[in-house]
Amino acid sequence: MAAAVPPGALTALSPVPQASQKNPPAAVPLDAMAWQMLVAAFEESKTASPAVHAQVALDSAKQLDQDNKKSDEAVVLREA
Amino acid sequence: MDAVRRAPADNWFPFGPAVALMKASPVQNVTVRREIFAVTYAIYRKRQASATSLGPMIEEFWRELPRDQVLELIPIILKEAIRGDIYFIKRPMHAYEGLKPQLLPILRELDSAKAEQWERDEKQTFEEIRKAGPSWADVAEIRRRQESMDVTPALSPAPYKKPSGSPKPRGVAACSENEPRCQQNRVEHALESIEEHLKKNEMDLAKAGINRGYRIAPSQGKLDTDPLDPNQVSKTHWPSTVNWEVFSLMASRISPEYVLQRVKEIPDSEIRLLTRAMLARMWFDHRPIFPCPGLHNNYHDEGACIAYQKYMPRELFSWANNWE
Repeated sequence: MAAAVPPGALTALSPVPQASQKNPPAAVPLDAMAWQMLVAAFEESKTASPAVHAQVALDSAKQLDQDNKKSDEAVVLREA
Repeated sequence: MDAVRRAPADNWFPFGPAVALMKASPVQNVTVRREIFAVTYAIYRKRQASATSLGPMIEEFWRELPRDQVLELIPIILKEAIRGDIYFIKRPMHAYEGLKPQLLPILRELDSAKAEQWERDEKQTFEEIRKAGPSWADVAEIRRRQESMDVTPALSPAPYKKPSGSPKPRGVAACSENEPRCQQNRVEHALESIEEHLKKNEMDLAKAGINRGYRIAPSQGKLDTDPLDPNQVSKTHWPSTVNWEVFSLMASRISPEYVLQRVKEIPDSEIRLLTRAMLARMWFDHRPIFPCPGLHNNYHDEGACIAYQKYMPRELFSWANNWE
């Protein structure tokens, strides 16, 4: 499953993970949409206040951790 | 390390970070780990902390720590776990079940006779703890200890004074000062009504409820951003941020498309961002945590806790202490 990644998005966040999904399927798979949202939010948060950037980065890092992408998680945390 | 050394004088000790510091210190730096343990042990001996606080250090670094102290502490930690399991506060945590396989092998390696004795006397220990009651020490004993240590109770923070000219009501959110539960009730009623309509598949009425919630959040936002009396807690924890997130979460039950449309209405770009990240994580099955304003704010009373657990489906959020 592949998701469109916004241009300039952090490489570490680009691949769409195999996520579990409780909600019913939508036109665009929910996990793909969620991943795009997280990528976009992480990019946007770079211009936000430090606390907000840190929170979004933490959310992204937790998701990467959940998907067992340890090195990508480290990249996100370093950047935050 | 300086913080660890200073901490006991402050009558407070960062047990978690101290263990993290031990883990982070280079393997060969045994001295640092011993020093951290010595400081922590001294705090325990002064009865300012329970032995349980030393458990993680022992589990991880027992080979580097003083044998006698480890031998002394393991049975005490196990007994504290048993007591916690018997006289639990909310629900049993099964602490002994988790600790025994960690600590008993250490005890066995250091003193096999003592470990065997523990196993032999296990049932009797349970019985003794049960008979001893929920507390090791009665109030008089605690008072005696405090007096012998000359512990001065911490000073209460100075009472909060509203800056003159600020429209923010005291101890309230968007209501007059004599209605301290007003905002809480508004949020709870809105959540309750949305949930009721969703259960009955009354989507238009549920959407009307979301509209109502989306009107409550900005009224709270005005208070958080009051230039004369701004909320000094991180924006990620503002009551208005939480309100936007909670009502967005409820809107997500109508449909993902619907909530994403609604989120665009959030006027604050940063709260919009936080809400989108929260929704994304929720769709990855990670439930958000909604903190109680009173728990993270020593600035002034931001209102009572909202009982989300009563008004929202349980699968939508995590309770803060994660006691599942």
